[in-house]
Amino acid sequence: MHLLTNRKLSSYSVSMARRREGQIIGIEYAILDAALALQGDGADVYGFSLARRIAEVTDSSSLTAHGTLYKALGRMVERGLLESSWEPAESAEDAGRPRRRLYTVTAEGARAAASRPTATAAGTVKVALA
Amino acid sequence: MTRDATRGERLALRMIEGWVRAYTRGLERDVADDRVAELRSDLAEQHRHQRETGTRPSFAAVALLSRSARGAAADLAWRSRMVRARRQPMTSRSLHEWTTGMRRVFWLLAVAVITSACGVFILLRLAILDADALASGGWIALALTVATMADVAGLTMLVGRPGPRAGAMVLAVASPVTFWLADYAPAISVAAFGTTLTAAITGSGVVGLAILAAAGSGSAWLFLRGARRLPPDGNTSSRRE
Repeated sequence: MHLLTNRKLSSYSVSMARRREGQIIGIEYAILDAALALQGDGADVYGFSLARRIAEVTDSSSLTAHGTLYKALGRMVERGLLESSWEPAESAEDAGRPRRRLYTVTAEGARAAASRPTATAAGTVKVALA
Repeated sequence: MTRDATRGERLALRMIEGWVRAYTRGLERDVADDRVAELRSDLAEQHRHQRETGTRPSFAAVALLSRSARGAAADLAWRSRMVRARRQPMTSRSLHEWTTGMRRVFWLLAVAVITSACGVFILLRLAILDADALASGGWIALALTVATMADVAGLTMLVGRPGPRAGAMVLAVASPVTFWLADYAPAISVAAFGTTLTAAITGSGVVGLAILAAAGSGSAWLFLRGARRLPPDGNTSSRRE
């Protein structure tokens, strides 16, 4: 068992095989786990909160890169694993920050997280790497 | 968002926003606007988090840039995917040209950052350590200052307006001047390259000059080549059939 680092989460990692159509890859499982955990805590799920949660869980000092994170998020929304909506402008104005794009895990996303292959089911971020 | 940001952080944030605008250029407006807004929100959140955790501003700026740079390849892949998925009227040839162009801009940007940082560093260190040398440097100090300003302007143009080609042309002129003038005084050499390398440069004379000449000529060649190969500015987005 090896710790899955941010580098290994990237779909551009040289060592990572090209994914097949419909296959869920490491970064997507990590996002689903982080989103479910945040939802469970009653916290908002948005890009930066996901990056922070993933960094905490993987014990990484660096956050998931913008490109890697938002590319994966877009793909997951298209596939129905997540839903997204922009928070009301008033909430953001009251908090004095730009609007967040909020994500929620769909039933399909929760099913996908629960029914991952055995190799990745043991833990949130620990996967068996050959 | 950037009200309490330092100059370095503001520069980092502007560069990242410029990069986001560059790779969303020519996409459907709602897709591009969503991406820009989401990144802007993320940058604000990260900046606020860094403030709350007491991250040093210099580290904060580097962390912001690093996070953006590490995802640059994914940004370009996302862009290509958006073009395909939305079936924009872009031919495979023009898509190939655009992607190739963006890769070139990325590398030009990397060298431009190094050149600009070198120039700014030399001037800052000189101003702090030996203001007299800067003041009495005459036309050389003036030329170095102008070249550094041109480097930074070219860097901004690479990711903003009028566009990467104009930026590359400015840098093709300014970057060799920055490198060539870096040797005009020992104080500047110390400031720019550190004591060890300075000793090597001053100790070996011709070798030191050759290193700087090679760096200057190399950067000029790189930017000229980039300017020749990039499509005209304002024509880097999708081309209609």
